[in-house]
Amino acid sequence: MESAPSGKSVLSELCGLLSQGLNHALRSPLLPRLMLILPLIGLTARVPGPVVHIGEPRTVVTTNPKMGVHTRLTDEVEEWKIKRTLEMVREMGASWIVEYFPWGYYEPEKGRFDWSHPDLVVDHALAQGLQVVARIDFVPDWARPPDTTYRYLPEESYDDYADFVYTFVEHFRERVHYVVIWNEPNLAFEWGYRLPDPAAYTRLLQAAYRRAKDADPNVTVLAAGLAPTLAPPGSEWGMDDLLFLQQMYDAGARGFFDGLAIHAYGWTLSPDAEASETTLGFSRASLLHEVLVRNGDGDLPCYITEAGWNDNRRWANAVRPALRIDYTVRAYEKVLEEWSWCRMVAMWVFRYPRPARTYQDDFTFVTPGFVSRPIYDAVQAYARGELP
Amino acid sequence: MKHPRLVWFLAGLVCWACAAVCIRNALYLGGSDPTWDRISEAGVMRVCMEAAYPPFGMTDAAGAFSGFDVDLANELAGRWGVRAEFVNVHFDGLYDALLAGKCDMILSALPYDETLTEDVIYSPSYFNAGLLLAVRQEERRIRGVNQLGGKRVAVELGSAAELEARHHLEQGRIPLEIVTCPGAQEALQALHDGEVDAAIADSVNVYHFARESGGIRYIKRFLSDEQYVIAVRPGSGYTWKRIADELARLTRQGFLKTLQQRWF
Repeated sequence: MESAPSGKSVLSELCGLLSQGLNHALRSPLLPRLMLILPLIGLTARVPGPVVHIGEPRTVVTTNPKMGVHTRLTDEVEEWKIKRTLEMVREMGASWIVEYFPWGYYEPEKGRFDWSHPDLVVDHALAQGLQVVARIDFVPDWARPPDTTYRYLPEESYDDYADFVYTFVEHFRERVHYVVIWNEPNLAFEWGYRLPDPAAYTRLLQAAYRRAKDADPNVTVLAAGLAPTLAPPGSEWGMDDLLFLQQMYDAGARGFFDGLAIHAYGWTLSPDAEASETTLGFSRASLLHEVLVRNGDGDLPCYITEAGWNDNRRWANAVRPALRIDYTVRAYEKVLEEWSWCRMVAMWVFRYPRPARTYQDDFTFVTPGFVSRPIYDAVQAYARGELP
Repeated sequence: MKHPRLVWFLAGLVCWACAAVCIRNALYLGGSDPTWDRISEAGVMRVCMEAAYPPFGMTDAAGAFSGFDVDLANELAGRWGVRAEFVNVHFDGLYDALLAGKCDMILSALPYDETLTEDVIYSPSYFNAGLLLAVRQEERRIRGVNQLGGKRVAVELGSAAELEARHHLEQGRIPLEIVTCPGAQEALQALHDGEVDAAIADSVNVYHFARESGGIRYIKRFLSDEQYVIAVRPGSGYTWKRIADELARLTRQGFLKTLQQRWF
C-alpha cells in the first residue's frame, strides 16, 4: 500500500516542474523576440497624457484695456496652435478677443451638441486672461431648406437659433459674458441671399435675447455688427448700415440688446478723418453711436468687433504698411481717449490658420507660422507704453 | 522563328512609339486643346488682367491698356498671328474668371502659387519680383547678406523687406541695424544719400530707382522669390507648351530684358 505523498514532496515536485519550465522558456528562441516586443506592447497600451496644458492663469499687461483682436480659431485644429495664438494675443497687450462660434458646427443634429472645440478655445483664452466676445451664426443643414446657404435662417427656425443661444450661454456661463447675435444682416450674402430685412432681423434678435437672458440674466447680448456700406436704397446687395439700425429701432429692437457690435474698417482713411454719412471709414462708428443716442439708447455701450486696415500691395482699399501701423495704433488710442461710449475695439484679424492667399492675408498681425509681422511689434510697443 | 528576341524587341519599340504618340496627342496637339482651338479660330487671345498694378498693367483715361504685361501679351499674340484682347478683372477674381472661361490665360503679375497647381497650369516664370539687396554703386565689400554685420540696412516699415531683415538679424544672427522708412523708395533714397549702407526692397522698386536716380546697384542673387507666371486652364497643354517655348525664346532674344528697361 502506497502512503499518501507528504506536503513537502508535492512542493518539491512543483518546484521541479517550475524550474523545468523556466529552463525550457529560457532556451526557447522566442524569448528574445518577446523581450523586444513587450516594451512596445507596453507603450501602445499606455494612454498618452495631454500634450498641451491650459497652464496657470495669466494676466494681460497693457496701457490700453480696450484693445482687442478678432481671432480665427474656428478652423484651427491643433490645440498647441490655439494656445500659442492666444498667448501671442496676450503678449501683444490685447485684453479682448472676438471669436466666431458657428452654430452648425456645434449642433450638427437638433439637440446633439459637441462643445469640445469651443471649450478648448474659451478655456485657453480665459487662461491667458482674455475676455471672449462670441459671435454666433452659421445655420446647420437641419434648420434650413435644401439648396440654401449656411447664412439662410428661415423665420420658422428662429426658435431653433434662440435655443442654441440659450444652450451656448448656459454652457459658457461664467466664461463667456458677451454674445453677438448674427453677423452683418444688412448684407444680402449674410442674410442668405435675401434682401436685408431689419424687421425680420429684429424678430431674430428679440427671440435670441429672451433665451440668452433665460440662460444667464447677466450675459451681455450684442446686436450684430453691421457691414459698413453705402448701398443705395433698394440695392439687391445690401442696405446702408445707419438706415438698417434706425429701421431696427422702428421695428422694436429697443430693449432687446445690451450693446451694439460695430464693424469699423478704415479702408484708406485715417481714424481721425471726419465722419460722414457718405463715406466709409473708422470714424463711421461714431455715426452708429449717434443713432443709438437719437433713439434714447445713448447709454448703451458699443463694441467694435471688426476694424482695421490692410497693407496688401494690390488691393485698392489698402494702405502702405507704415500707414497701417500708424492708423491702427491711433485707432486704439482714439477709442481709449475719445470714445467713452465704446468699450472695446477688436482689429480684424490676428492670424489665419493657413494663408488665404488673397488680400485678406494682409489684415493679419501674425503669419500662420506664428511669425509676428511688424504691426504686431508696433502695437505691442504701444501697449507697453514704449512708442515715442 | 529565327530571331524571336529581335522580334519582341521591335514589337516593344513599336508599342512605346505608339504610346508616346498618344501621350503627345493628348497633351500637346492643338486638336485636343480647346484653349488653343479657340484662340486659333477666333484669331483673338483673351487675357485676364488686373489693370491697376503699374507698371505691369494699367489703363489710361480712354480705357487703353498698357504696361509690362500688356507688351508681353501683345508680343506673344503677334508671334502667334492673333490679336490680344484684355479683360480687366480684380486681382482676387482672376482665377475664377479664367476657370469660368472669360479669358484664355491670366497674364497679370501673377505670383506662382504651389497650392493651385491642380487647378491651373503655370508657365515658367517671366519675372522675379522678389527682394533684392541694394548697395551704393561704389560699394565693393558687401557681396551679400553675410557682409551686413555692423551695417545699417534701410527697409520699408512693416513690409516683407523688414521681415527679411529681421530674419537675418534674429535667425541668421547677423548683427545688422535695421533702419525703417515710410516706403521702399525712401529706403533706397536713404541708401543713395549715404545715410545707410544697404537697402532691401522688391526688385520692381530697385530696378526703378537704379534706372531713374542711379547711384545704386543690386546684388543679383535674390533674397526671396516672387515669380510671376502665366496661368492657363487645365487641359490647355498645347497652349502651355507654346507659351513656355515663346518665353524661352523671348528670354534668349533679350525681349524680356528690353521690357524691363522700358517699364522699370
